[in-house]
Amino acid sequence: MVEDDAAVREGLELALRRQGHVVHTAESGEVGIELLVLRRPDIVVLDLMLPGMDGFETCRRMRASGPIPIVMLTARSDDFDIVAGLEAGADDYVVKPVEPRVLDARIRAVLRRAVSERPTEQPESEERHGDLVIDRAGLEVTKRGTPVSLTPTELKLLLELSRTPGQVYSRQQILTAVWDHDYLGDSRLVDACVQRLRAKIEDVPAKPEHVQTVRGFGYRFGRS
Amino acid sequence: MKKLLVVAVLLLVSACGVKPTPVVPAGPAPTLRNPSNDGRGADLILYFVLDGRVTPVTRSTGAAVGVTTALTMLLDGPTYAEASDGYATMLPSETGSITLSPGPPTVINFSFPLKQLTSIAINQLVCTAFAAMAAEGGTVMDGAITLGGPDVQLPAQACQAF
Amino acid sequence: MTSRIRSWLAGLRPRLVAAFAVIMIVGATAAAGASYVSARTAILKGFQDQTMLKLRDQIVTYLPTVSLPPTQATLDAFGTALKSSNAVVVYHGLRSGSGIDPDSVPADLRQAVASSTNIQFQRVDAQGYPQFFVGVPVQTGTEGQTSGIEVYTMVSLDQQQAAIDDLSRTAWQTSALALPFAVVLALLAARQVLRPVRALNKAASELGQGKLDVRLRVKGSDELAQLVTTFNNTAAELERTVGTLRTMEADARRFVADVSHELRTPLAAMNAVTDVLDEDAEQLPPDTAVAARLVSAETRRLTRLVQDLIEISRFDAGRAELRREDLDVAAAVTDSLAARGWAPGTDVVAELPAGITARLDRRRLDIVVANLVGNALRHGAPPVEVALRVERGDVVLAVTDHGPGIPEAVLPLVFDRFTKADTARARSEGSGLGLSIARENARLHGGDIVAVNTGTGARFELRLPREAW
Repeated sequence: MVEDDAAVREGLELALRRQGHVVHTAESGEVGIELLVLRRPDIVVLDLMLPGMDGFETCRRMRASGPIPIVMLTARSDDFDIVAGLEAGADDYVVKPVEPRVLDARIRAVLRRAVSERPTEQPESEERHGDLVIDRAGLEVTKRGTPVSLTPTELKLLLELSRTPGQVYSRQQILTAVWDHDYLGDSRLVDACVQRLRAKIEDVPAKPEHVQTVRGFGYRFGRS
Repeated sequence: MKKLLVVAVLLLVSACGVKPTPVVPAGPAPTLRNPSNDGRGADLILYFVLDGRVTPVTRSTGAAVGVTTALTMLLDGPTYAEASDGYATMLPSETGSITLSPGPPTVINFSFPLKQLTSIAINQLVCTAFAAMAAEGGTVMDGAITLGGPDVQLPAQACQAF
Repeated sequence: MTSRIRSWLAGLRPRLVAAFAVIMIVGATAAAGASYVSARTAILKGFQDQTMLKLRDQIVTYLPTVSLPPTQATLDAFGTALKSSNAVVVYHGLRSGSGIDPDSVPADLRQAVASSTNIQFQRVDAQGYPQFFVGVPVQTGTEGQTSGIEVYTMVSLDQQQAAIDDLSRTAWQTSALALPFAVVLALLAARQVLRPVRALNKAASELGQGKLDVRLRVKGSDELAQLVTTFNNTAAELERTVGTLRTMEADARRFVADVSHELRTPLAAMNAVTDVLDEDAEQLPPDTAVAARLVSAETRRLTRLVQDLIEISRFDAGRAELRREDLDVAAAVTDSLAARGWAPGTDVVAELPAGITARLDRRRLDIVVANLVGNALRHGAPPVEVALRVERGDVVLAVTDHGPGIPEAVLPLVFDRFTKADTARARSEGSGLGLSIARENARLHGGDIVAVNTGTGARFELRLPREAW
C-alpha cells in the first residue's frame, strides 16, 4: 500500500491485516516502486494524492513493469481523477473514506481475476481469433505469436467477451461478470479497461476488430 | 365642475349677437337759437360753407337784423376769423340790391344771376333767409322761398342743409 | 374591455391631453370672445355714434331756421331737411310729412325724450331684426326746457348684425382650430414625460428580474433626470450589495467544501479501524468497550455526514454530473431495495410494473430511493408503499407511509438542509441532508420531489422526466 498520510496508512494496514492480508506500506511513489520490485506483492493499493511523484505517474510506472493488479485510493470521485487513474493502469478504485470491508472485497475480486479460469474438460485449448490466440487454461494471449502482457482485469475482460463472439454485453453485465461489483458499479471502469485492452491487442485501436463497440448497447467480441 | 362648464357655455352662447338695450342717454340735445315769444334773437345766423357743407355761423349783433340785411352780410362773405376757421362762401362777392317781397310765397330778388350758383350757394341764401325770418319771430311761410335773379326765377326753395 | 379603456383613461397621456385641451380651448375662447366682444362694441358704437352725430348736425344746421310754434309747413320743411336721416319731426300731435312712423318708436323712448334734455337712443329687437332708435328733444334757449319739438329716427342694424355674426362665427372657428393644436401639443408633452418614465419602468422591471447592471442615461437636469440618477445609484448599490452577498455565499460554500475535503483524510484513517474496534470490543474492559463502540459508531456517522456535505457542496458549486443510462425503472428500484434488505413483502410493499424505461443516473436514483424509503421506515410507520407509474412524459415514484405524517409547520421546510422532523430528537440516524440531496438529485434530472400528508401518513413523490431534453 502506497499512502502518504500516516494515520490512514496505519489504520488501513491494521484493518487489512485483520482481514488476513500481508501488508507492506510505502509513504511515497518512489518507495512504492522500490517495494514493488523488492517484495513482489500480489496487489498494490495506491493512493493518488502523493507527494513527489504523483499517484498517476506511480501507477503508470508500476503498470509498465508488469501485470500487477492495482487498486486506486482516491479522495475525489470526479470524472477526471477516476478516468485518469484508470487510463494510467488501475484495475479498480475506491473512494476515501472507505470501509475496510469494501476495500477487502475489491482486493479479493481483483485477485480472483488473476486466477479465474480453471482448466476445464479441454486442457490445452487454444482459441484462434484472427491474429489472436487465446489460451484459456494457461491464461496466455499471443498476437501473431508475440505474447501480450495483460493485467488480470484486462485478461478477464477479454476471456469473458471472447467466450461468445458476436454476443453483445452491456456494461452492467460486464461489470458484474468481470469486476464482480454490485449493481451500482461504475461503467467507466469498463470503458477504461476496453481502451487499454484495445491498445494492446488491436492493430489499429481506433478501428477495433476484436473488441467492438455496439453503440447504445455495450461491447462484443468480433467474429472472425 | 360640470355645472360650471355648462353655465360658462350658456353664457358664451347668449353673449353673442346684437342685444336690445334700455333707453340710454347720449349727450345733450341741441337747442333752438331763438326762444319763442321771447322777442327777437340777438344773434345773426349766416350760412357759410365748411368742409363742403352748409353750416351756420353765429355773429352776435346789437339788435335783430332784417332778412335783407342778413343776406347782404352773407354776401359780404366770412370774416377774417371765420375764414381762418375754415368757413368759405360759394356766393359771388358782388351784392347789388336785394329786395324782399313778403306774403306767400316770399320772394327775394337779387341783382346777380342765379343760374351759375351751385345748390350749396342757393342753400346758403335760403337757409340764411329762413333763419333771419325765424329770428324776426315769423314763421317760414309754406316752407319755401322764391329766389329771383335777373336771369331766372327759382321757386319753392327750402333750406336743404344737407 | 371597458376596464381597459378606463385604465387607459386614467393614464398620464389622456390626462395631459385633456388638461392641455381645456386650457387651450379656454384660452382661445377667452381671447376670441374678448376680441369679439370689443369688436362688436366698436361696430355698434361706431355706427350708432355716427348715426346720432349726423342727425344732430343736421338738426343743428337747420334749427336756426325754425321758430316756435312750428307750423305744419315748418315741420315739413324741417323733415325735408332731415330727409337723408329718414327722421320725423314731431311737435305735440303734429308730425312732419316725411320720415318714419312715430308710432313705431318705443314708448319708453318717447317718454324719456319728452322729459329729458339729452339725446336718447334705444336698441330694439323686432322679430329678430335689431333696430336702432334715436330721439332728439329740441331745447329752448338756455333754460333747458324742451321746446316740444322732437326728432326721431330709426336705423336697421341688420348689416351690423350680419357683420357681428360673422365675427362670432370666426371666433368659434378659431377656438375650434385651437383644439387639434392643443391635442398635438399635449401628445408631444406627454411623450416627453412618458418616454423617460417608460424607460424607467422597463429598467426597474429588468432590475427586478435580476439584471443588476442595468443603468439609464441621464438627460437634462429636471426632476425626471434626478429620478433617473437616483435609480442608477440605487441599482449600483444593489448590484454591489448582491455581489458582496453572492461572494460571501460562494466563499461560505467553498469553505464548507474545503473543510469537508480536509476531513476526509482523518476520517479515512478512523474508518479503517472501526471494524477492529467493534470486533475486539468484547475483549476490552467494560468501560473501554463502551468507549470503543461509541467511537466506532460516531466515526461512521461522521463519515456519512461528511460524505453528504461533500455531495451537497458539489451541487452548490454546479459540479454535479449526470451519467444517464437506459434502464428499467422497476428493476433498478427493486435492486435498490434489495441491496438494503428491504425486500418487498415485509414492511415494504412494492408496486413496480415492469417495462417502464427511462434514461436516468442509476447511482443517483438509488440514493433517492434509499433516502425516501429509509425515511418512511424510520420516521413513518410500516407498511411503506412504493408505487411506480408513468404520467405524461415522466416516471413518478410515490413512497407512502402510515406514520404520523409531517407536522404542518415543518412541511414547507422539509427539504431544507438540516431540517429534522422531530426537534425533540436532536440527533437522528441521518445527517439531516438526506432529503436535500434527494431533491437536488431529482432536480439535476430535470424533475422534482414533493411531500404531502395523506391524512394517514406522509407521501413523497419523485417525478423524473423519461428523456433528457
